Amino acid sequence: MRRGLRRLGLMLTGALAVAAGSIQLWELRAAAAPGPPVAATPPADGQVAAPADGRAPPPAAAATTTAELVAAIATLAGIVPTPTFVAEWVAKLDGGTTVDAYIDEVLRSPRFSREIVPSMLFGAFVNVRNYYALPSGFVLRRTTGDGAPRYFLRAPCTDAEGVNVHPWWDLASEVKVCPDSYRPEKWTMETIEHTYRSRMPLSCDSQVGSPELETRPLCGCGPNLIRCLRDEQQYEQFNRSLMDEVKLTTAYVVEHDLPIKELFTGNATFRDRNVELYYRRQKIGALRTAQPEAELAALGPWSASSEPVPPADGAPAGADGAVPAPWPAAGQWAPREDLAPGQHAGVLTAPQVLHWLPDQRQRQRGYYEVLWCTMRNSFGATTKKILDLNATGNIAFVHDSWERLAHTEICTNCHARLDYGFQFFGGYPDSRASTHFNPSLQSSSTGPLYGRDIDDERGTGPLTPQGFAQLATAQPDFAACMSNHVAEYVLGDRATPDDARAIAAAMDATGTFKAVMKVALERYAERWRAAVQQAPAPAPLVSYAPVRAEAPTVTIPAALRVEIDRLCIDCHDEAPYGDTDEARDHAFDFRPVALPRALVVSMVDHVAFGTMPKDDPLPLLEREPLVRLIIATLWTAPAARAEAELYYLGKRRGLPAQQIDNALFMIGEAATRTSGLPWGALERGLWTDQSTITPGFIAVTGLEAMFACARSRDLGGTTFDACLDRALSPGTLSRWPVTSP
Amino acid sequence: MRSRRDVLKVALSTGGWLAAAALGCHKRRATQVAAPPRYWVMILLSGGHDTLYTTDPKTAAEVDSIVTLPADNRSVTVGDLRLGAQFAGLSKWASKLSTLNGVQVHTANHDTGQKQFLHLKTNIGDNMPSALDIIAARREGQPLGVTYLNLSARVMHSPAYFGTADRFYFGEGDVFSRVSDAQPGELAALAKAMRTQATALGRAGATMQAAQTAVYMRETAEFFERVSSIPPLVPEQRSVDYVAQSMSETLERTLWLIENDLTCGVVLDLGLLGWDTHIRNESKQVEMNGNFASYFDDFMAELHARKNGHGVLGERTVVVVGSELGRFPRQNDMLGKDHLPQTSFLFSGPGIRAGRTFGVTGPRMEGLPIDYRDGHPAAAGRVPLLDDVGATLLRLGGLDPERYGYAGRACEFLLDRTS
Repeated sequence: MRRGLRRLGLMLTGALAVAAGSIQLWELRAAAAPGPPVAATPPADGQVAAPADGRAPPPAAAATTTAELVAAIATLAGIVPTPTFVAEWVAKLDGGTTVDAYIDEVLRSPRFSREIVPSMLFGAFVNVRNYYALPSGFVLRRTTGDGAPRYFLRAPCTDAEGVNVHPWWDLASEVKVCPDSYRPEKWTMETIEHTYRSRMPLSCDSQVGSPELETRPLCGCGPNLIRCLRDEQQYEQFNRSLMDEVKLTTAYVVEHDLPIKELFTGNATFRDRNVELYYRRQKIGALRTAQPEAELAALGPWSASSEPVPPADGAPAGADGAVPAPWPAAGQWAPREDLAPGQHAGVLTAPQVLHWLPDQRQRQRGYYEVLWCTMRNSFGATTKKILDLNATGNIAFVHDSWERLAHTEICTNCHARLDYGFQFFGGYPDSRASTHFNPSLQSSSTGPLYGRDIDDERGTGPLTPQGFAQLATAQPDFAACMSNHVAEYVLGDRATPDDARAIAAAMDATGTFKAVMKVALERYAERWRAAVQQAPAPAPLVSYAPVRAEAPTVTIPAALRVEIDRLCIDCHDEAPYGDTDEARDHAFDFRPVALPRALVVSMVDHVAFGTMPKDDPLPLLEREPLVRLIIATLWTAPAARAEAELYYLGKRRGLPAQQIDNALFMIGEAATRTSGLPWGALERGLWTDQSTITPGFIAVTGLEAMFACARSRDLGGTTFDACLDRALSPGTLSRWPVTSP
Repeated sequence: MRSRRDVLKVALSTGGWLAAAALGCHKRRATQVAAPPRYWVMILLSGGHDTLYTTDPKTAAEVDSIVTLPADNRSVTVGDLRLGAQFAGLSKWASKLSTLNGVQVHTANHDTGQKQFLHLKTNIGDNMPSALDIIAARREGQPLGVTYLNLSARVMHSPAYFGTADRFYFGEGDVFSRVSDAQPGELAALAKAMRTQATALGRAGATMQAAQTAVYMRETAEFFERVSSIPPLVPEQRSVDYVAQSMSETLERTLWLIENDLTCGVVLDLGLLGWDTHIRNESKQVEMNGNFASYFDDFMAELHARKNGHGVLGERTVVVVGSELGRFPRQNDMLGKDHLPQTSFLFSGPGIRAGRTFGVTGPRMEGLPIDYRDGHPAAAGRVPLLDDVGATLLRLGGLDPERYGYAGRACEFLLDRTS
């Protein structure tokens, strides 16, 4: 337990206990170092600031305190660093409590497990609304004119035409539904009934079965209106519940210190009644249960506000005559029923994730993005290849040529993984064709899982979602991805190879989220001081350099040659550079003494933005000198070089941003009130490495602070200007420390 | 047959124009030639428009049997510009539009394609500044660099992002609606607080990231200060259909931003992937392209009618319309069309040679090589690549594309050398 304290102690150049008012501050003072003079003027329009030249750090005027570090770590974990909280922990640390203990404490925060971690692991997959799980064409409308209200999907009917139905949301009641919107006997659309040519089973509960994409009005809401939603409000509520299932399941795994892989391989999830109803309606669809009341017992009724309320006396009995226990309104951790062995695989088969991308190949790409942090980009498809491969026109919705794609040169780099991968999910067809599991489509045999390409088989397993999840989470790619999420969130591009190794070792040793996060936060505390020490100087202002013609080839200087040979030649020894589709299929040969200028331009672009070297990303400390070398090779004029350096080293990136909802929460706490206004923010869907402070982030957080502070002021809480200053402090916005003034 | 003199003339005039642009000669020459672009608008027809309906109509005689043609297969030709049935309504703008067909994008994946669209470059990574971010960095006077409107996917986020996300996916509440509800005095106080923060962040010793954050804070503060004195936009209700209405509103918002000189660039994500017609291509392409053409027609009319202190908007605004990928030419079993890593673009504005259809496609709709000097078909030429469009736009913006990683070949044929 003393290890963390010792580590923190080692990085202190000053002594403990510098008195500052009544609080003992533990001052982290950076050693002064010589450096070039710095420009105080920020860049102006039409001018750019050249980057620091990397020679030596500037004098570190700033000192920072334990209090600031305590606050920064708390904010990262989603805890509000109130003055009282910070003061208490500073006192404890001064009194000998270890940093480890502090980190353990913050990692127990419910906001950490319920908000921070889900956004970190799933990004848009948990924070952005799903379109396909609940086809919007199945939201009912209601007549308002004569007679009793009638529910309808397509067009209203007369009172006499309306059919009486016990709706799932209140089985004890009766509502009228237009006949075309009911159709309790209809489960699928037969090929002779619709005008699609596909022989694929098309289920009534899908987008294609809904009024949105039907070719004829064949399907209705089904028995007890099971595949329909009462109104828009209920539709919104169910969508929120689907997102919450992923969040709360993640929270359960984190809070119970279960291995992270459980999140993807376990059967149980934490869900409310809305989601439980969704699973039961999937089962009803799969088994075509004509009388589903018993299946729905104990879940409702749902009040008019769409929130489920505890069932009243007289709730329908289950099949065995017993009245099941009511589903807790707040949800519960509970297993899911498998209609075939291996049907479920953690949150991979939770509707929010399962139906987030409809096409099976797209869905699989999403799984790899979440599990292995790969497949965010997909390059290399050429028009000729696609035209040659696809004789029938069926390459996406119906996957006629999947095996050919998986085995074709270049295509195999993605499609071996994708197309063999989605064979594990055969029971879940395209979400636009069905939203329920179809046991008859699930294979009973085994199949391979591939990594890099068709030559990189990783093992075989049962062709079920569970079989996939077991294989995928056993791969090093999974552990690396989970470690990377944490490293990226806490350390960002400051993470060194040593940090990465330490975090990965924690993942290997424990497999639990808190343990991995703890190591990262310990490293964050270390980096805190380094950040103060290493702050580079902003550079003098330069103008844009004029465009000038350059020679078509570039002679590679010796220093760059060394780096190219060390980092690139393993792959880049195949074919001479060419500017055609066919040539681009190969890794260009970097060995010649002189290389085409266009190739070297591409080289600086890929290295600077981290897409190369491909399989072994360079840490920032190694990448930047290499980028400088390539820039110096390409551009000799100082102004042109400065312009290029600003772009490739600065990348127009602001400081790493807090998760947007964390920042909004912190602003509300600082202002003592929230604005009460919703924010539809793109930032909610970002992966951590994309999350930097942008003008958009500043605008949203600034406006939230303004409205929250206005409310606070109007209620007599604070002065407006002081509140704004508090709410917009750098620590609220930035994950990374900003040196103290 | 082109003479050597013709080639030289092209080279000299293009080079001269580019050199002038790069040397910042726009202002001095403003009385003699068209003013350089001040605003840049990129419109994404999200999902992938079927070029047979829009910019590359074909007759049955021109294509192989695998190509499924539109039911309404008429085309409109005005001069050298040929448009499909769904874009026929845009023919009135023929003197201001050009199209480029057969552009290779090297991906059949929406996410990658949408990212590439923003960068006008293939094989890109996350976190790169977009093409307009790069161009807008040298803007003159507008507080915002680029405003991104109605984005439906996180992949289109940029390090310089400012804008709105689609409210169906991301929820209600965006910066423009909130600003319109704010008190001017409170916005001014917010701007002041931001400037104070920016000063602290950008002081001596700050990292590049902190300095960049300070720049963004000042830009945003300036936006708040300016917008507090501008009447808010009240969008017109044009359709009860969510996607169509958001298309119309987003184009209106673009005009409002430009007219009030609030931004240099605007990126619009239209259609919520509505052009991704794997199911029922015919009806969806007709609907999406029809709606777009109607609203875009209005947009062009307003662009050429409205003025601000920098002139008629249409004379200062470059407009680029395209998709992240295209549609496979043959209909699938769901009566839809799957993906093709090829698309087309529509261009308008100062510096663009208007009134022409550039780029040719073959009987299977495959892009064919063209001569990069005049845009005519040429066996020894080059099939247009997305990177070439990016290099062209950066050149039009007076920048050296190479310095920003654009190794494509500029489409000289697209540039109006008389500007």
